[in-house]
Amino acid sequence: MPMKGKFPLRRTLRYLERGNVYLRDTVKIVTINYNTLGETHKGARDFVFYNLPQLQYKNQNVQMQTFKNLTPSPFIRCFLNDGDEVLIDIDSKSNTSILEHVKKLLGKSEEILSAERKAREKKTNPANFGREFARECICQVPGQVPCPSVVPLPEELRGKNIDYRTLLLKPARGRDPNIPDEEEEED
Amino acid sequence: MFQAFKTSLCRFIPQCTNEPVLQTGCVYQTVRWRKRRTDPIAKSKIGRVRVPTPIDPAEYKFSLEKWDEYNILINAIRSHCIQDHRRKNKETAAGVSLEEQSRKDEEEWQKLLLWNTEENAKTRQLREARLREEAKREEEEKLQALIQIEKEEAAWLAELEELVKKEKEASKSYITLENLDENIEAALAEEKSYLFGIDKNGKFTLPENTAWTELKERLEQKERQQNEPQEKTETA
Repeated sequence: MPMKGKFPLRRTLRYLERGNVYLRDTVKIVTINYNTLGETHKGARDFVFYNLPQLQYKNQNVQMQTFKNLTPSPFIRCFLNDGDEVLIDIDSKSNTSILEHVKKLLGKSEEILSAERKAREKKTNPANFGREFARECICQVPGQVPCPSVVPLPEELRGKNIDYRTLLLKPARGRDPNIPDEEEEED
Repeated sequence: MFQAFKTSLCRFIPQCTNEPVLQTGCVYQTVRWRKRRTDPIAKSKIGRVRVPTPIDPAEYKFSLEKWDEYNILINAIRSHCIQDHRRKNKETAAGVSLEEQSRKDEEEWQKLLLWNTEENAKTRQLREARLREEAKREEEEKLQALIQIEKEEAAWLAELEELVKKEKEASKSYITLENLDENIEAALAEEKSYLFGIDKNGKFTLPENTAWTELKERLEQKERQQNEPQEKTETA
């Protein structure tokens, strides 16, 4: 893919993965109002240009909208669950300070993120089978014994075909604890 | 029972078996094997008809109807207990109960909102201060512009006044209808010679007639003005 446009690095995965602000689950919509001219709006413009792609990449289920040249001063307005609104005044602020503010107010803390990471690990552990995991049964793994409901097991592996008579009368392997060593009992 | 087996199986006691062996050397088996469907019926069981187990019809009916209900209840209780157990495990792992956790989260959120409003207030103050400065500057600039305009107007008026003054002064020597005759006679009486020479440097050589008095004065004044800056530069 050729590098077209202004600062096309913003469209690379490497740049997008560097975003570290994960918004809370309650945040649903983020709107940014700013102007295309004006020294006080420079920080907002930079934020939208450099940081918004990273933010959107890490929060793909949040709607992010920008509005240009509507108001004299720039601000961010977030809409949460239950209809709550949060207003952030970003007049004459740099894009880094805006990002920090957003991270502090609306971002997930490190504890929550680590807990989520742990939960995800449990889910991704391929040794776990069950309803909530990736695979319900080991028969779903290619190379394993197929599900007996689909492909019947061979006769000798089915429980109903065990010949207990020959099995029990066969001499068992191993050492019997009831018989003491180095002694031959004769009847 | 043991004796019957003793004769038939004693011979086959191997060195090691998993079944318990009595002191007499007998092997006793609690379950020998499960008879297959295809195995022949034992001699003692030929002609046997099974007597169906006695069932109390009332109890049977009751059981059939209430079994589902019972199962539903029991399963509900079971799943509730399991969830409770899991929740307690989670809480003990986290160190805090769920209610407390949610209350803490709410408190933190309110704190953050408060901090946000404070930050917004700060930004607002900065913005208002900046706007006030800008307004002040604009007012001053406007005032300066007005002053400038006034000055210019005053200068213009002064200039005009000077011109008017000059004209008034000059008008004293204007030739009007009243003093026309006098001036004509004066002009005729004067003998102005226009034959004078001019140097390469622009210097006039005036004739000895006193008719060119004004011109002479002006030329002398000019000379004086020219000489003064030359003297100043020489002294410096």
